[in-house]
Amino acid sequence: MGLQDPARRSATITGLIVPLILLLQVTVLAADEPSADQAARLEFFEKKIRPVLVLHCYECHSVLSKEPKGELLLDSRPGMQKGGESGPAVVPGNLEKSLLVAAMKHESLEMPPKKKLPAAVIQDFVSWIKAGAVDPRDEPASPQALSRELWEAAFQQRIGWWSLQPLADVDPPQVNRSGWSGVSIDPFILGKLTQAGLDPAEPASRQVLIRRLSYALTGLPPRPQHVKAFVEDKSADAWARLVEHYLESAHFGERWARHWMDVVRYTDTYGYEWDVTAKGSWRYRDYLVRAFNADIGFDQLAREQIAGDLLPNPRVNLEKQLNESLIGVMFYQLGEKRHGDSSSFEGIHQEMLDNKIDAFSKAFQAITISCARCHDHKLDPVSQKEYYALAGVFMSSRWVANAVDLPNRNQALNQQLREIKNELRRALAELWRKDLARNIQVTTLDKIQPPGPLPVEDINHVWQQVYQLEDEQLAAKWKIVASNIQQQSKERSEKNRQDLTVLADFSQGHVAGWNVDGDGVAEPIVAGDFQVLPTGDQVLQALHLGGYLTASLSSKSTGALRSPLLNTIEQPAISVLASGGNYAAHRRVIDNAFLCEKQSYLDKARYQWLPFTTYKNMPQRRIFVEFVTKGSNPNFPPRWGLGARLSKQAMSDPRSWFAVSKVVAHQAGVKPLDELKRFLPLLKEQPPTSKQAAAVQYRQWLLAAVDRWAAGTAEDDDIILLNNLLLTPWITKAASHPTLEPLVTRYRQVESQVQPARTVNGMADLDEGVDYRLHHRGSYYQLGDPVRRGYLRALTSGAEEPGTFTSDESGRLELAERILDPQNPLTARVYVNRVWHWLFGQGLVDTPNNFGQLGGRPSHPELLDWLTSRFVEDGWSTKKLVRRIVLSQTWQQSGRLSSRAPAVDPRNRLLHHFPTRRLEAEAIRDSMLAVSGRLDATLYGPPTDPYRTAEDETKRLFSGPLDGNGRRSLYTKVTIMEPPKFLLTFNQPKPKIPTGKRDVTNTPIQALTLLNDPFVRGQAHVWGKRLAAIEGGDVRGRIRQVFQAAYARDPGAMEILRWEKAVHDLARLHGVSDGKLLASNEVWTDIAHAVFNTKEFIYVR
Amino acid sequence: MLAFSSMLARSGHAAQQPHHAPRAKHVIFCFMDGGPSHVDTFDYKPQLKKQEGKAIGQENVSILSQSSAARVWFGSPWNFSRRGESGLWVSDLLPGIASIADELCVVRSLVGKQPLHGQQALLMHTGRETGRAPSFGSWVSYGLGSENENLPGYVLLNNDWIPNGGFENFASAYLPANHGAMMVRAKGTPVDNIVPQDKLAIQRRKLDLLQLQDRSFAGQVANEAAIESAIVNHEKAFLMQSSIPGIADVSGETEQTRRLYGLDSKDEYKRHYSLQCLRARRLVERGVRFIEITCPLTHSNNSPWDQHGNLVKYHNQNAMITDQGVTALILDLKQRGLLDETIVVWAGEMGRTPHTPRVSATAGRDHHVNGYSLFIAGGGFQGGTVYGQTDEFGNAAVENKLMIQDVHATILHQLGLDHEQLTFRFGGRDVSLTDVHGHVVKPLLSS
Repeated sequence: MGLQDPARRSATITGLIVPLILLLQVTVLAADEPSADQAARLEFFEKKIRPVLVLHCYECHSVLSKEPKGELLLDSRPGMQKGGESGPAVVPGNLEKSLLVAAMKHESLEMPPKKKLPAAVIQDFVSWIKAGAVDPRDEPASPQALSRELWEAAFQQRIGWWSLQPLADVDPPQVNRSGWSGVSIDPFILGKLTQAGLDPAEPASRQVLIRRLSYALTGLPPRPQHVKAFVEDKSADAWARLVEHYLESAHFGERWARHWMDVVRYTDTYGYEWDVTAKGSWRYRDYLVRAFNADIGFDQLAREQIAGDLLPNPRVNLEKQLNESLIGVMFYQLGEKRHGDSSSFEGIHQEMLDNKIDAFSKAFQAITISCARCHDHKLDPVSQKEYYALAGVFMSSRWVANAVDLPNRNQALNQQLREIKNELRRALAELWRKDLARNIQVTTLDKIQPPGPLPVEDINHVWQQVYQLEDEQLAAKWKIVASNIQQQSKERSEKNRQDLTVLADFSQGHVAGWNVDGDGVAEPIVAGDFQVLPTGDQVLQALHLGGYLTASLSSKSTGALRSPLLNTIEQPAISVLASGGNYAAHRRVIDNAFLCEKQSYLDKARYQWLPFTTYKNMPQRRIFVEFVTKGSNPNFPPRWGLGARLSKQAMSDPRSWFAVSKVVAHQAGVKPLDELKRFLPLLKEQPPTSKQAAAVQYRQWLLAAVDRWAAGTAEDDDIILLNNLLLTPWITKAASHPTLEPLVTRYRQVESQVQPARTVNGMADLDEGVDYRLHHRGSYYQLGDPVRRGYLRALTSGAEEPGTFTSDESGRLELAERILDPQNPLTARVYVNRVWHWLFGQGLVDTPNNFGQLGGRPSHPELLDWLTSRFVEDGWSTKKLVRRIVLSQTWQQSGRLSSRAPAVDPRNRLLHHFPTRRLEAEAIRDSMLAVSGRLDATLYGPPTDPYRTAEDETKRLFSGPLDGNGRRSLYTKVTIMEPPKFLLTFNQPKPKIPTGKRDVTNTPIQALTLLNDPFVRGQAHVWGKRLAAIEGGDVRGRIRQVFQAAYARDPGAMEILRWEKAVHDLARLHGVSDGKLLASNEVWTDIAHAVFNTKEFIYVR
Repeated sequence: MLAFSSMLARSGHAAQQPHHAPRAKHVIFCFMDGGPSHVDTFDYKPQLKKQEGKAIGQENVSILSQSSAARVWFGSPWNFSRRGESGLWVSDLLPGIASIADELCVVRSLVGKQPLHGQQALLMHTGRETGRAPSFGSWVSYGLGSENENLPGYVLLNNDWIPNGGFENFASAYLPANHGAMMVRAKGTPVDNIVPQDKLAIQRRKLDLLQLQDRSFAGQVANEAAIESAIVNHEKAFLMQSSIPGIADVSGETEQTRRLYGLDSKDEYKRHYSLQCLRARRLVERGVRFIEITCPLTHSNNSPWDQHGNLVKYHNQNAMITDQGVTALILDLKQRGLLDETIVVWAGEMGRTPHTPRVSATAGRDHHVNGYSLFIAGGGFQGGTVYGQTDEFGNAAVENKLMIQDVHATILHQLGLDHEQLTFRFGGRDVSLTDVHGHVVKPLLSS
């Protein structure tokens, strides 16, 4: 039909001629050196054509697609020219026949589907085809190369996003308005308002301002006397001084810690199925309170939270004897955690890794790196490889509980304990010598013999063999027994020598590759050390072998002894010579399983060889064995019923201990043998010729061991012997013995003053870092190649490949450096925006956790950059930033609207007034406590269980007092499984993932809570009683006091009448006469309750 | 009072427009928390008895099951028979439910993600193993809107035990908060803070004072609307104080109904479970869209149906507690002509292994998501039918495998909602309950 249309035919002819000429030119030129013209055409392709093809076409029309759509491949010149089902996509020089252009114009097919490319782009294709469609792609690239190309094109486009640009060097605009300072943030705000033709609101009243400030900085209502003083203070710097007053309040830290706790998904329990306690969480909360009060720079706080355990100069708190920096890494261990390990259920550590990546990237960078778990990020410059580069960083560290005390915390007490213990040892030795002289006699030895045969290891075995013999028979039998034991000892020693490889002998000192943490394992003990029992009628239970003993001075010490990764051990099994008690445990931690369930409690005071496999069946997994006291066990107390049922007392009592002497490696099934060497001194002498002589020999043998112990030269064999002796009634152990009693009492008295060790979950770098393997499509069953540890290329200046790390360690220190690199455009910007959000209820970017393409754009980009630069100059000081903002005219505007504003800027992004906001859950509850007078303003400490109507012991969901003992809501335990109901009702965030912006819901359940909840009514009652107890005055005066306390203002005339009438009506309903009205608990409780229910009470304007 | 009702009308949540003509209007989800054993209820496997004690072998080991080659097959301790006209196989464990077999549409081929309670419970409720997303009930409430101003769209009839995964199973997440479940307890006060703590006249006097005070406050601030809606909520709360206890109170029900549900059972757990079943019917009558009933925990296992040991003892106990109530609910709805518009779902978050480490009188079954069962009754689902099949041991789904999202999509379909169109804008994306999964399973539906 085309042929019958002359116009069309001519067009076709024209179309044919041009490309032929062009093609000829190209062909000719291509044979020689490329001309300038040819170079320009190639450049045109590379700049204008290839990126569009890559970004918009390759996904469906390249070798990357399993079934290219319409059988069309656009990834090479031949592919383009051959075309697909409908014909050639590109015919050089021929626009008509090049179906690609029509499709791009959505004239025939619609490509790309759904979104038409900009006209300018389509015009580029037109020009390109007209000019001969020069295309250097002779053949399709490999899928790998293509996918790199695809990503590269996307990456280059995405790093242009506003939040990834360096901070702009901006000056405030010049704007003038009377009453406005014209400095700091104001010109930026005013500038935009003026552009929009809007006026800012009038300044808020002083009453409104002080209430707003008090809540913003401390989360509590202002005290009436402060309101009065401020309202009456006419000096020019009244506001500035008020700001200082609240900045200096100790409650500032509580308020701002809670803000940050939203971001880091703060929790006191781990949720999931059993709501296991998050160890040391509350210490991290207190750490934040102290840090915000001390105005520690946010850069330092970030550094500590990312790598506080690795800092060469950690921040220490001498007053509290804490390593503050080390507490920071609890950051990683917040959020929900699953029990078990990946060898039982694949996915356990992967989910926990993902949670860390998600929290880290949102909290510090407002980037959603965890979106790249299964594929490259759909919108932001984060590749899937980079997700796994970061996963490697977090996986390389061990996820453990850290002891956070400074080393010398109990130094003075410990010194005393050591001295008393030396005295005790002398006294015991003296007693034992006498005991042995008296007790090791023929008659006593005979008496103790049991009917059955004793094993060769028993102290009385030799005696048992001979004691029924006549004297003349004795020597011969003794000889046989001796030779038998000597022979066995030799054989066993030989077998041990053959079978066992000593991996660690801690009696000789610390062994490299093994990690110790905690005051209890600061250094190994010498053989013969012992624990003085803190209670009971025994001085001691046993003597210890050389090695580690956590409770050498006190069982309130903590300790962890951690093996190297088991895949570094050749043999299939190891045995550890250990003892322990009070729920100290040994754990086999697989792939960093944090709440690993492969843990058993040590409940033997006597040493035994504990066997462990080295898991040769799973060499890829990162597995270690650790011996831990309760405190150093991240999974203690564990879930209900794991290992043992624990009483409340067992959970909270800090006492716990273990001892580890040696570790040997061997083949499976091998058990280290007792070499019986302790018997050799007894048997080495001439055989005794009488029972009497035998008893003397026995006695001397034992005395020699006691002497060596007293002198501090005992060896392990002596210790085993003496421990055997301690099981007999022959030597004194009674604490009540007159010689021992004063020493024991003194020891126990001093020991009772020892501060229990403090531990917090965290991270530790103990091994060489390991690169984590990419998971295809995020599946842990489809593992790809390991990805070198590193951080986002987009946030690493000058990096070509993903910003890989060079160190052999995990890379967390490098990660902290990258985050705090002056070239990183996000860290400070994101934090400054958060602070803005916390002060205004809306950030300059209204998605504080997402600065990527799914996030919002800044309302005032210049202001955000200006403020961020000042913040960095100010040493990342939160207080200086807060001061800068609250001193502004912008922040001091009233909440009243001008009539035009809603039409122009309904969301108030330009800040034409101060937004009225509902208080946060914590502030609502705290306000009730504060106003009622019940508030206990104490800072810090373990959390209080929230009040519950039903308890669940198996999940440890216990109920606390209705009013939480008057403590601020910050100290209410955040239990993931069943969150504190009152706080949840008013949107305290759920701590599974970071919250940048809280929900503010409005539900009838909230109204029911305010009307009927026992806490609300209880506080109304407390306040009502206080009001009724005020002497004198009248109803109106009382109403004035109520308003001042609750709203920080005086009532208006109408309000006086309104409330006065209510008071009288309520009195009538209660049957209270006018005369008794002022002193009526019921009436004033009702008034207090009504106030709690008013919107003004829970809103701040 | 008139003033409030006109105010409520203004702010009310009028029923949304469905995507297509709905077949049903309500869902009752009987959550058999912990995972009832499919091979002891609806999936009859005589091979298990024949091969009992034999090792299952490596070929029957699966990551979707707590399995190892050395475990042995374990026959069902209960007898199975064909029931009703349809001849559906149901075991003696659930005699009541067996007696209404012709109402049941049984699916025997569900496949989950991981054999773990938390993940599966969240998957079942929110379509995602990780949770952090709105509950199915919240989506239904959001999609259909409420028929009753004074009641929430999603009610959780709880039995003093919160399943694994916690409250997140029942939360609205990023959907508006009014679509989260309101929890009604079996024991004591049905809803927290629902009983007025003031004499009515006093409370009314306070509310009148609040109205005036709050209105004048609203006039002084910019976001008047938020304050206004908070004021409305106070009035709504006032009304709920009488409407909710009214539903919870079943004293007006007939003796016949009490007997049907077993309200006077000697067993306390059963009494409470039955009470919740009866309340479910009352909630349907009053227009609540989604009602969930959870099981009580009577022992120290991790969750009610989680019998790793003592299968016989505790499965019997759970059945004793729940069987009559669920049966009664279905019969009662049918008698009242409500079953046709009400979808009753009976499901755990997983099934149980057809094998065990060692067969004994106290043996149990472990976690299993590689093919397990549920049933749906009413709401246009085809009664007396079976869909999908597992292998001869009930160890793996082999035919017509379904994901829970398929069940979600099909139930939404019956409610007139297209699971792909039922979306909410969150985090810059349109998110849905079924995400990229789910399809409507037509064979489950009557024509």
